[in-house]
Amino acid sequence: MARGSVPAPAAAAAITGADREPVYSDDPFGDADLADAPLIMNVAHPTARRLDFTLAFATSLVDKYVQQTGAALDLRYHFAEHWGIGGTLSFFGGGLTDIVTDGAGVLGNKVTACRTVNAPTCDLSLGVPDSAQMTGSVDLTAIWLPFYGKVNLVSELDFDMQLYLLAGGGLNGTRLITAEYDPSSQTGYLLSGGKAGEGGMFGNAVPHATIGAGVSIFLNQWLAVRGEYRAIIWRQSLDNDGDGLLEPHMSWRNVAMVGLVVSP
Amino acid sequence: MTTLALALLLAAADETPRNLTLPDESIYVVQRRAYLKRGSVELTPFFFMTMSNKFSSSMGPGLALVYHPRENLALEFSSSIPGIMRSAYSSLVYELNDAERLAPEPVDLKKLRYFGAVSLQFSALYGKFDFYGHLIDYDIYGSAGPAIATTVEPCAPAGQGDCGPDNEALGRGLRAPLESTDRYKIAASVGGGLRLFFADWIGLRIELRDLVYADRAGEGAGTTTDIRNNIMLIGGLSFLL
Repeated sequence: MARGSVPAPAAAAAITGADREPVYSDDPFGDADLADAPLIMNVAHPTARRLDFTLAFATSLVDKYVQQTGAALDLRYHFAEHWGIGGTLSFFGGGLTDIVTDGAGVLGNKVTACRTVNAPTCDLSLGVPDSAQMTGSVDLTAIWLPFYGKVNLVSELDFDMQLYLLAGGGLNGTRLITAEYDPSSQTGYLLSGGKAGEGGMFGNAVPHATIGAGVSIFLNQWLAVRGEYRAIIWRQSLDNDGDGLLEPHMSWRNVAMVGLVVSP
Repeated sequence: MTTLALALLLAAADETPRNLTLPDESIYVVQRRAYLKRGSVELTPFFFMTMSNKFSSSMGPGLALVYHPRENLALEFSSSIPGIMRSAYSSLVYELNDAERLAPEPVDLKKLRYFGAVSLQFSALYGKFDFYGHLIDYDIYGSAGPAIATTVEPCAPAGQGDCGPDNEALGRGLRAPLESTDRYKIAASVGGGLRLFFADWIGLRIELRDLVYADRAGEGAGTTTDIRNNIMLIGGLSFLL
């Protein structure tokens, strides 16, 4: 790239047409200084052949009957400038949502009905579908990274940034949390099967599909922050109505992840 | 001899800067904006959908008009297009109704019908993306301002008086709230988004916005209340006029 002395302003205007909008020019000083420069200079994390190791907090969003909170471990290798492949191992705890457990919720209404008639027993099985909690997940995903850029904070700090989409599939464990009638307790029921580790990480495993999108903001040469959304979709059959037959349904979990990325 | 040495020194001094790579060159490249918004009016037809409400969701088209008095500050008027917004109950409502014969509280069954907002946008972050060799300028902005929202509430018996028909097969109809303060709600619009420019006249806006208001609904003997957060994903095509 040729570097010369800065020409007079009049000459620069003549070369670049600075009186025209937009004011942007690839050659603002007429010295061809930036004519062949890459669009993004000083790329802190070149994508191709980059290995990312991520530890993330993960939680489900907009939950219906069950909620999941846990951690995810993600290993990602980018074999091309815009493509990568990743593996994710997640562990989830959690339990039933307020829609189920609240006094005005599913269980609360059943307990109230039973208590009203002083019933000695009470059927507290959940009739709603999609009530299996996700306990663990292993995923293999293809990652498309079309955008690499920089973000500038109040004209002082600039960070590198990358946006991506991902799709793939894997297996996830599921468990059912059940309620037993207990007139002596304040809520009227006792829950079982929802303690940490109960049901195992991959008990009652089902295959699932994964789609998602995310952003990585690079803090320095080896550390980044990543935010990601994933939808985990699987088909599961449960006997929701107690007739002894399994009814299939699609389960959809929205999972948000926030984590730290180390790129050795 | 002294003159010659001085000339050599000056020549060396003149050469040195030309061969240096400026340490802040990357910042320099980021700071140059390909397209300026200052003094421009931006027109954005957009499409939105609510994401956070467990019991109902809304979607529809809208229009935003933004004036940029400064590069990083803008005033926006945005509005959904009245009459075109569509709201629907989620599968959760039908599952609870079918499997447990339960219904959410009446306030949770209200549906959004319209929103409009006047917001101040501030953009402290900007940058650029490389998209397969194409330069795309963007800025990230936060916005906040007052808004107005209208809703419809569940009512019974369906199809009688001002209560609409039971189109949802849930044993209820819908009607406009009876009190005017409930019919036209003062709301707040808080959000943030990304503005991408492909050229000096066209771009793309992606925004997350929380339309928040105090909501209430009366059905039978009681009134139920809630602070409603309608988190909307908004996507639109921007034209700089």
